[in-house]
Amino acid sequence: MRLTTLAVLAIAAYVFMILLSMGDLWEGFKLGLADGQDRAHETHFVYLKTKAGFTHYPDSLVNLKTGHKLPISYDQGQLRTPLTETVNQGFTWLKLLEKLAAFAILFVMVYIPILFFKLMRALSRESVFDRRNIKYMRCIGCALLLFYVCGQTMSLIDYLTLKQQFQFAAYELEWDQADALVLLLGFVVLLFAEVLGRGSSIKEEQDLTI
Amino acid sequence: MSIVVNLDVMMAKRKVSLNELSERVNITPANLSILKTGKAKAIRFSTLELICKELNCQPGDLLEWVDDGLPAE
Repeated sequence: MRLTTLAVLAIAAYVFMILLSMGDLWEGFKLGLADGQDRAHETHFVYLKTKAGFTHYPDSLVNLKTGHKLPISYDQGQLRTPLTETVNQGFTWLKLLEKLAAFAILFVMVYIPILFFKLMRALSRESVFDRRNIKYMRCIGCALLLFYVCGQTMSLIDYLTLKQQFQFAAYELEWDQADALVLLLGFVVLLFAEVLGRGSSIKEEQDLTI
Repeated sequence: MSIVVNLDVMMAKRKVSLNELSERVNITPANLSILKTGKAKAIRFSTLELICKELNCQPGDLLEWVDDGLPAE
């Protein structure tokens, strides 16, 4: 009963997480669409770090409630640039790698929820020590590791490309690294798959003890 | 596995069928069949005692070790 409840709650939490990211996904889709139609401009997402350190505030914002000018330092931004400013590097192997990584991420983003729902459905039916569950968990673990590696590759390529095109006075561009929590989660899931595998062997032995 | 179960031999000697033995020792025919065909991974002392009692034999009559050259599991 507790297992079923937890499995149902896990599915609910996952759906909630997907719904939360839907807003960003929609905004991203609209931006991509607008970018595709506007042939004169391009949007870049940049991650910044102040050259003088975290306690330095190179910019300012006016607080309309008090009228005071407040110092601020940005750590990320969205740059709208004319296409003429974009350095055209041609079709390099880096671009190909970036596209491959993007497709891999897209695949993983669809693959992981499917496996997760299958696993949770099996657990909600109290079927724990099943060979299929171990397979699902191993696949989820590997998919998470692939997600991390591809994300890291994409952000590195993006960072290197942006570094070629932009240079700012008070800021330097920063490499927005993929979330290391995904890497940890991947290994933890793989570890649990192995534990489940041992449990499954013990159960088989128990079932065949007369 | 290098442990061979000779239950079928003892059952034939005592002229007892699988269903009859399963009723007498209170084990399902499916489980007794697993034991008989050597698919079982382990046997409880209580089960062994019941079978020995019903077939009037020693555990050594039911179980035999043969060297198959493979390392133990």
